[in-house]
Amino acid sequence: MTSRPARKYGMKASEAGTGLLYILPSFVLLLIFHVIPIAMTLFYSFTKYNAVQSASFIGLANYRRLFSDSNVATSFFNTILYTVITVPLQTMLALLFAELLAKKSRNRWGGIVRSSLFIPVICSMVMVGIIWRILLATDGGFVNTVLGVFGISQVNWLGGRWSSLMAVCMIGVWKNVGYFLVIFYAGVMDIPSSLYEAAKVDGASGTQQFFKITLPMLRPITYLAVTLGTIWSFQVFDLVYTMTGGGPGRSTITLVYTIYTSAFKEYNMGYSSAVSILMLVIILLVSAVQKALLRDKG
Amino acid sequence: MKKLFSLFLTSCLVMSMLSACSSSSSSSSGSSSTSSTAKTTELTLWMPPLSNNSDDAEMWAGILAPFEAENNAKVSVEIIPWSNYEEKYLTGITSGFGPDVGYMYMEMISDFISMEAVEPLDSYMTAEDKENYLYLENGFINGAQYCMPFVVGNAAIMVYNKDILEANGITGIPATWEDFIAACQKIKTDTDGDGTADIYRYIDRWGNTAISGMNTAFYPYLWQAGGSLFSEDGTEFTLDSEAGREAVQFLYDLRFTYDILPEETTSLAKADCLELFNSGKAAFCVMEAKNAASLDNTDINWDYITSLTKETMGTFIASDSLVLMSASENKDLSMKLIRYMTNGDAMATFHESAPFPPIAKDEEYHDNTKFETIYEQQREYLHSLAAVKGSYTIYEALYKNLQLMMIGEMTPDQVVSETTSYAQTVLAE
Repeated sequence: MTSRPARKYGMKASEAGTGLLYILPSFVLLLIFHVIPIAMTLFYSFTKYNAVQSASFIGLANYRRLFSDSNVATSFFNTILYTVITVPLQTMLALLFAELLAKKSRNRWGGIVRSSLFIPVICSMVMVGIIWRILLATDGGFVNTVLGVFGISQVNWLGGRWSSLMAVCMIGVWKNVGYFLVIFYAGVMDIPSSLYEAAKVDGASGTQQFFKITLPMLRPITYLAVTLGTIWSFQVFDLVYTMTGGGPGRSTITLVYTIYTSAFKEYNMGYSSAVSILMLVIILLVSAVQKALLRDKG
Repeated sequence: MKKLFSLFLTSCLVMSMLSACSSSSSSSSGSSSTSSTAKTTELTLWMPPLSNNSDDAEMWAGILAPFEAENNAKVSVEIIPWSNYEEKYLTGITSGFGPDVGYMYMEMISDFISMEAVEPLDSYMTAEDKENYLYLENGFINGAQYCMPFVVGNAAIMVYNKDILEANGITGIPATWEDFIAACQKIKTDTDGDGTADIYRYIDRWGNTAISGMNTAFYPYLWQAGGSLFSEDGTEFTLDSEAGREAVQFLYDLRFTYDILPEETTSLAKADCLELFNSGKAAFCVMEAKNAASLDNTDINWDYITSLTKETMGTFIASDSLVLMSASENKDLSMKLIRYMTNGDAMATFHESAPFPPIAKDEEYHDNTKFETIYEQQREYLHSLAAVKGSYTIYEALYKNLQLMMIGEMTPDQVVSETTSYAQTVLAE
């Protein structure tokens, strides 16, 4: 006769084994495409390596260079600026659009607007960069032509120190706002209407309902939008590569752009790996801070 | 039963993933192989898009067919876009799927030589080769013949709109820097009186995303001033000279002192400059001869000068080469391919689709006759970039600093001193 505890243990082990097998494919993918590359990057960050010849260990030399490299400092500053501008802007715009569409346009027209705002999300970033470079051309570009209709003189969008960075930021917001709009819209639709009815009965205005009901209820989604937006902002590369090439000067070089040029133009994989690890640490720190500040403690 | 079925499906999924990760012997056999059944030797050739008709693959298939028949070979031609050119070679070589014969330009070749990815050709060169090929010295790097110059041409020339010059009473074509400034200052930029410029005096591609923008925007002026970027042995960065400072100052003056280069020059890429000149909005523009040739298809009444003169004339000429990759398993046949591609008949066919001047004596001139004097009589004024290890890093720093100067964030002195300081650090590594 089998004892009850032994049978219970056997069933639990069997269930655990089955569970392990179910998660094994995802785990293997995570290991191959995330964990191992990160570990290899960390290893190569301590080497001098050009990807063709063997890596030679050089200790902390890449990190010492990194912290004294003005290019890295500039790209870090530009990346932070890009993040600080695009993340709040795209989050707020997405939230506002979601609120407006959910409250005022819950019809076919609202669906068309949502779909239209989502189109940039599915466009290739490279094509976005190429097209917007043409639209932002100083002479004869569409944007300056429209500004000219209102009597505004042409702007050297991609040729100035700050105008180029602002242009890249605005295109980044334009590209991403549709994605977060869809998420916020779902969140707004999920808020019980009874809360708004009760607030209305109590005499709360639309603005008060937004700040006292909508925003708090959307806190988890806001946390997601800000975290994702921050990570994406730190990863900005293809937009800069196609629109400005990091220029003029170093006005729009970003951390990932520096990683790319170090690796594939200067053939310095070791240094490129060190900058990548720096970026990883920064993103982890920023995500931890965001989690502490924004995560719903309830 | 349900559990067993689930386990079975999961196992199948895992096994299918693991089998997909393994490399099959037929797909990862390296860049060249000899098939035992057909005894055909396979070679891989990587070329950039050079044909004016965008038919590079078909062009090379036609050119190489006789070579394949004669040598019982199969040449797989892969056309590599310019945009990710260096990384394609780096990843190809690293993965073992690189070419047998490749095409490299001066900014990249030294780094691949230092990686021992490129094979010297000295042992393959014959006395006839040395007699026949016109530009072998361009491929002599670090004491060895590392590459076979293949495209030597496409000079950067200064084109001008004759109608704009005539409308502004400019009768003589500027020859010197001073003549150029004087001529540009005569050109009225606001022809319709609405307060905005509709004619540009001089445009250049300071907004190019790639460092090749300097091919027209900076290097010609450096050479005209009598300057250089590197010493003969490539160990010293020589921009910090009287000539180098003069060239940088000249560009600064064109932008800020004389307002000849417009503010939007830092947003203009190559395509923008071509479009502006082609639409009759610019008086002067420096562009490659290949692009200038297409002006005949527009309504622009144009002509050109090879370069301005300061101490001397000087302008940029492309000097790109065929290279034999060290990883090739069929070096002898690959070298035979290089020799075949550069012989007079093959080059004549190539130049029908991609007009460039001849690289050897066994081919007649097939490029645009309008530019024949440049390559036949002004060769001494044509310069290509030096092949120096780490040169891309240095050119990138120089370009960025010059762009910063063009937006008023750096002085000419700062450009020269900071670039020189950085370059010396790179060269010392």
